Amino acid sequence: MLSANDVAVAAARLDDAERTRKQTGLISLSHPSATMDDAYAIQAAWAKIKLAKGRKVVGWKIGLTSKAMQSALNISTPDSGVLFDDMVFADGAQIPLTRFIQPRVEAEIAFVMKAPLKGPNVTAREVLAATSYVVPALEILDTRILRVDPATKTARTIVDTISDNAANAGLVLGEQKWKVSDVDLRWVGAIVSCNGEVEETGLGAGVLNDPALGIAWLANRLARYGEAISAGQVVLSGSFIRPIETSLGALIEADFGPFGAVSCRF
Amino acid sequence: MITPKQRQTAAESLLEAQQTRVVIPQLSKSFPEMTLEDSYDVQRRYAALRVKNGARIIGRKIGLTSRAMQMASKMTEPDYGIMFDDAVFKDGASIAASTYLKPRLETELAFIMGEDLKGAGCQMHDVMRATEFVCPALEIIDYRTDVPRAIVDTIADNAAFAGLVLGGRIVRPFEIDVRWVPATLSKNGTIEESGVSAAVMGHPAAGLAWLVNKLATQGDGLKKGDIVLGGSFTRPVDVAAGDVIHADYGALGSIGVSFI
Repeated sequence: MLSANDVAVAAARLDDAERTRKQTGLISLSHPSATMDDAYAIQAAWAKIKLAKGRKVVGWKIGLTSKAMQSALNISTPDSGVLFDDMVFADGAQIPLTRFIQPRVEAEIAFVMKAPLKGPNVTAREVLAATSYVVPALEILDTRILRVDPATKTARTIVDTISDNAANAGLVLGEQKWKVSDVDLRWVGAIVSCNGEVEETGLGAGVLNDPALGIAWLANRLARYGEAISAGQVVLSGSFIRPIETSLGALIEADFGPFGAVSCRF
Repeated sequence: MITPKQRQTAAESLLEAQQTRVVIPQLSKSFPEMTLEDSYDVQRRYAALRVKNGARIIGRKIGLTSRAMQMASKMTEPDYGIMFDDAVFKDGASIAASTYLKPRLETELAFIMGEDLKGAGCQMHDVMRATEFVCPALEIIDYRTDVPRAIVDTIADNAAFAGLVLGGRIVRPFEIDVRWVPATLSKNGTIEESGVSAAVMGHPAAGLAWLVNKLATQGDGLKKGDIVLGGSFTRPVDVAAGDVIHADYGALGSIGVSFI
């Protein structure tokens, strides 16, 4: 377990890195004994810094929801991060690249909740009952921590990813709102293009077999810290494509077929 | 460029690697001056050896159709390989994993040609017109050389083709939206990959148009009855003995196989 001071220092490093757009070193290297609980403590400490500056929590993101992403980090659970009000962009927005360090984009289904969800033992069915509507969404990922330590060539671990707010940096919500009873979430597909060329595709079922399961997992994880998903919050349920690298001028278009579409330009 | 004799040696060593299930060193290492043209000729020579041993050519496979796969191979175009009748399995088959070196699976659409299609300038609508049926397919890919591989290794190695399973619903190409065929690929009950057919160059028929144009440069083309595997819309999934595979193509049905 890390000391309260270690946690506070790590959170301050992340906040500095985001503001100055200069990545900080691997927390998993400076604190080799750090656990996943420590990482969530760092994430929470960083969130507190942001709240103190006037940010508001608007919801949650769930990451590492596909088998492929979990295998890449050698773990078997998803992770989660906090969404803040200044991360929200409108559909079609021009997003300043200068706000981020190494932004990447993922496509997913966003759930907007109408009732609170408090674990433990939340099921996918309860998630659907508590959902106001679902919309197509893009998530912008960024990394405030170096992907690889230059000296030792050690790669980031799950501790770094979770501390770094599960890599969350932004979200773009589509305009089409769907009642969960009107759509088969498992078969919602996305064709995601960068500058008109298809880069990635995927299906809702790629997210733990059912996007609602990820949200049940989140509610149950939050319960361990006495927290819950609140009514009105947005939850990004996990990407069903691999992240797409962006660069200046990149037009990202996600075609969700009959479910809708969402786009942004950097 | 390498000599015809070296190409023949390469083709024979690939066939032997497949039969003995012992990988050979990368051809790009044994023949550093090997070109793309050489590698397609090695592939043709390998196919001639397979035919001499009794196999029949049933069509072509297209590979490296996604941006991610092309970038990983430092290519700006797909590649293709030759398919044989003795590599076809029925839906539900039990497949001996020991037949392969490092088998992996991909989800694709198979195109069955209703007429000959040949010549430069082939476009997507020519492909759609010449296609009689489309159906879901699983492709088994395998590497008969060591890794990491250069693109010439992949192409010479018959574009990694190792086997084909056709299944699900057979439809006419205009009955469905060929861009929006979804697929999930599960191994032992867990979804490993998902994708939509538009991952293949925006539209799988674009891959076939590329193939026809490529074949035209070699004086070749597609024939009525040929099967063309259009390219994967999911990343390859490793398989081994004991694995049960389920590929679900939504309204087009599903394919199940097990590896023993």
